[in-house]
Amino acid sequence: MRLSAIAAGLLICGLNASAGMTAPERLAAYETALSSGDPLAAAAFLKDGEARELAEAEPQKAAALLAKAEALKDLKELLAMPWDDAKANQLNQSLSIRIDTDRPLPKMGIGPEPEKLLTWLGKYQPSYPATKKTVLKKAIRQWEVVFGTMTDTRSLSWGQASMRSGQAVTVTKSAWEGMVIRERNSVIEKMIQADPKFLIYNDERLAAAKSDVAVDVAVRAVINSGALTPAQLAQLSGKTFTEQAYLLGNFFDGSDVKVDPVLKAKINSARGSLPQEVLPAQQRDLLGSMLNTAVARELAGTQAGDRALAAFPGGLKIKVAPLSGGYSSYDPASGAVILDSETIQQYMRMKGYTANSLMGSPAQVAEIAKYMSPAVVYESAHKMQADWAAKQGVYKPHMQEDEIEAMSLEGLYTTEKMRKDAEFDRILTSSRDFSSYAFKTLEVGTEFKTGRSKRFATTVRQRYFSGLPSLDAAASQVLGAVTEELDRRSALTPSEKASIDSTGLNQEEALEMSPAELAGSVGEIQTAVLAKIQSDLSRLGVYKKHYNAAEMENSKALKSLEAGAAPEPGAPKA
Amino acid sequence: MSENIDMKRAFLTLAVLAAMTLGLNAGAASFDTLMSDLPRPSAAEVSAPAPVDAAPQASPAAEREWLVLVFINGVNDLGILGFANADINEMEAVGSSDRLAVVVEYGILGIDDNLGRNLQFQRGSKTIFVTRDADLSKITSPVIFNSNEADMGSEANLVRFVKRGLRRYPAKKVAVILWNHGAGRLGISYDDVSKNYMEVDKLGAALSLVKKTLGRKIDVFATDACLMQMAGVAYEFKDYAEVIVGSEEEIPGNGYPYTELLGRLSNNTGMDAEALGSAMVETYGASYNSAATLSAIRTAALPGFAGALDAWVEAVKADPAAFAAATDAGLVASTSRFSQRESKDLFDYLERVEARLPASQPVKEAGAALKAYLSNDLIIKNVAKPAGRKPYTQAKGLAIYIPDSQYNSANYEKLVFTRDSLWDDFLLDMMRERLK
Repeated sequence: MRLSAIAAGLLICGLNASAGMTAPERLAAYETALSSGDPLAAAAFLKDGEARELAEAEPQKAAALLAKAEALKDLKELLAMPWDDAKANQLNQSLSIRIDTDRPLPKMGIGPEPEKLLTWLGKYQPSYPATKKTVLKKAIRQWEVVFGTMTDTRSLSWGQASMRSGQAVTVTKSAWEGMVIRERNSVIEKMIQADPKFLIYNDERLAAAKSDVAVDVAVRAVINSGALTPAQLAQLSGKTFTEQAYLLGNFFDGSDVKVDPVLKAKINSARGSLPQEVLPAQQRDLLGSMLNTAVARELAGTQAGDRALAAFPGGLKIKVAPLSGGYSSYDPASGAVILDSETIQQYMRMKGYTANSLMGSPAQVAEIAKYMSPAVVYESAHKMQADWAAKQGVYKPHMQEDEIEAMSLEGLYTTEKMRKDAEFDRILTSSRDFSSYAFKTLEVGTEFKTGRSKRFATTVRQRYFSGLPSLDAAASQVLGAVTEELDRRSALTPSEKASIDSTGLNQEEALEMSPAELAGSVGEIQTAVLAKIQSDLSRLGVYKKHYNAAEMENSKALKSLEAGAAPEPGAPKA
Repeated sequence: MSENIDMKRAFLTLAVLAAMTLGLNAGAASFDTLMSDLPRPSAAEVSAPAPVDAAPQASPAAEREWLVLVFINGVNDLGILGFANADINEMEAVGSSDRLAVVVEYGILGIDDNLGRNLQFQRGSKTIFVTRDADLSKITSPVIFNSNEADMGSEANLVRFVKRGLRRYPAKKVAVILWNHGAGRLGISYDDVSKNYMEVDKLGAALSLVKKTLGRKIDVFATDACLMQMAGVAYEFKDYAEVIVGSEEEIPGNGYPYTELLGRLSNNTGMDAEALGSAMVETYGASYNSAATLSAIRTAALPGFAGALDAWVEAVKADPAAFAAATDAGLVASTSRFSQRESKDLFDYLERVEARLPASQPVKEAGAALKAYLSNDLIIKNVAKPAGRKPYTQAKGLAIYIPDSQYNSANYEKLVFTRDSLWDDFLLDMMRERLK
């Protein structure tokens, strides 16, 4: 009874009410309040060193409390971001990875049914703006928002389980209300196939559809421009616009077709590569080795570039290969930065370069090096992170904080290069309207320069990596699952435990897993490995220190850059 | 077994297509457009597996002769249509024994009943140790592991499943079957909830991890999925499996005849990898009267195949008449193809080129050598039933990528085959001819 009253006090007054309480009383109150999802109690617990120290007497309980508190803190911070209708799908992605089965939030009553979030919001965040609540309802795909007054989807074709075969499926409103967000999203994906009006629920596909329309318009404009010969028009006849764009690229390349350069660039950037524009494996290998030197030259002398180079003490190791999404990646196994060959081929198409011309022209290679150098800086941050995690020996999944650090470093580099290197500026700026890579690179530079660290971090979390967990979200998910499993194991017989430990997944295998994979695999991971991961994630300060140091370094570098760009009268040159 | 029912064709979402197209984000047809008027599937309604016992075995069982691991990704229409459950029931007609262990990773989408057909999400996947029962409508095998976070389009999840099986049921020989939609060089194992799928190069990397754990190649790697038996695909797996079983054409929804297949294996667990590959082809062939292809490939012969293919390409490039014939759009269009139109039967293509050339040409000799290598060294067993409504005219066991007009570098250049063979160079030459 007394604990309930104390917990109520915490709920109403937050930390102030706990001032006169003893540490054991506060700890008991935190336990009660956290079980019901109280974000104020979560914040108070995370700051209450005495209570946390007391909780450590029972490490399992301490870890469980920490998992809950981190999850609530993370949710509160997520919802506090500036969400509007245009960002509803990004919020959808963020909530989808947090409010799902077997995550910490549902264990506090916030899910897995998404509408429970609204209930929680009403209880703990009553002043949450109505406009943001509207966005939230769209983000969780509330039935009424998506389907209006319908009571079921009627027959919904799901691949071969189709209306045509009489085997379509139905989704009722009541079934929808029991679905988690990712399940709702999968139904909406099927709805999109039947009705394009549902495209508003998928930013990526909507953007692709708009891009297709823009290219189609450009293709039509060239066809109707009168610039093509009757033979060329005949070749285009009956073809899809994809094929037409490809063939137009060939006409531009092989004949004197006079069209608006903007149309030409738009089509060339969007079409498939002509045979002479494809970089086969051997040429990609050669280009990679040439870029090692050329990119290093670009990076040297800039603040971010020098740090990137320092991450590769043996010299840059660049490979060129087709990637599945993304413009670059870092491969920890080989220590190489991989640059996407399709992104490079797109640049070649825009510039009229061929694979052979590139191989024979140091100037063209230098141009590619300038164009792709921000991606190398970006990946160098991922290398630094991998090296740091290996040195610390901690579990470090891919998290938003990694991307904030990597994009900050890239933004710093782009900012400095745009100021100091006119050719870099020209190459990126002239490509901005035709290449999503160039657009993103310049956007990151601008956001970093103008956003300052906190706003920039929010931009990265919302715009670029909404589907990636934050450090707090990842830690709470893994910590919660690991702690539950360790609790379960404590009740097993020695032989049962020995069986898991002798055949279970080892540390190397576990450390490679994403938070979701690890949380789903705790049942077959060796006990010592679980205890190690629990210990890692109970000390988030180790991670935060790393990310804070990187943030401070980038901020400081930007300030010195700005000071150098606009020196005070009479001040010495930077 | 009924035939010509729904196919394990890849039902590609627009998002997936967007990632696969050339530069532009539209234009490729979904597999829906390739099919029409499919008869109603005949899979029986069955219940999901009953007991859930995630507790590990007290100790690993003694080493068996064979471990058959089947990764059933029914998180899509195949699950809804009941094919996943039906196949597990087929397996239960044989079950595991002290010489054979059959283990399934089971993840599906389902429906609640036949009347309402309300969609149901299973949430996560279950690892099932298949035991024998006589009930074809109910899965009774025990669940040995539950994973609530399972993504059936994830290679990492496949690897964890295989390692789980290897740890718990050690065996002298191991077969891994990947059960889902297939799209040849474009990938396999589409999960409609996670929206992930396995790209061929990523799957190859996953199989390399299995090999590392196993300490040797998997004995048999089979795809109970459409369109996967392609040169570039098989070559990607050459270092990780001894025998690769797959289909040039689509595979009907009922897939492999598991009762017959496991029955043969159970009766003769002494069979080696090639014998099991052959048994897969034979039992499959016996199950369908038409529209079915399946072959087993000896991976040790794949480097030799690449060499023989290179010799043919070099001979063609050295002979203008042969080059003109081999790159002729009409000839390519007339070549036996499969439901994915850029996937052609290699043997048929070689024969058609040969038929255009006079006798005693080096190209003919190279072609004859390559065909002989295909028949005698590479392909262990092949079955091709009459095409029925399928587009193929001949299926000799290995398909190869020949695009109509555009070379998909974003996809094909990911494959090791392009690094190790001259086929991609030849395709680029062919595409150049198209543009003249």
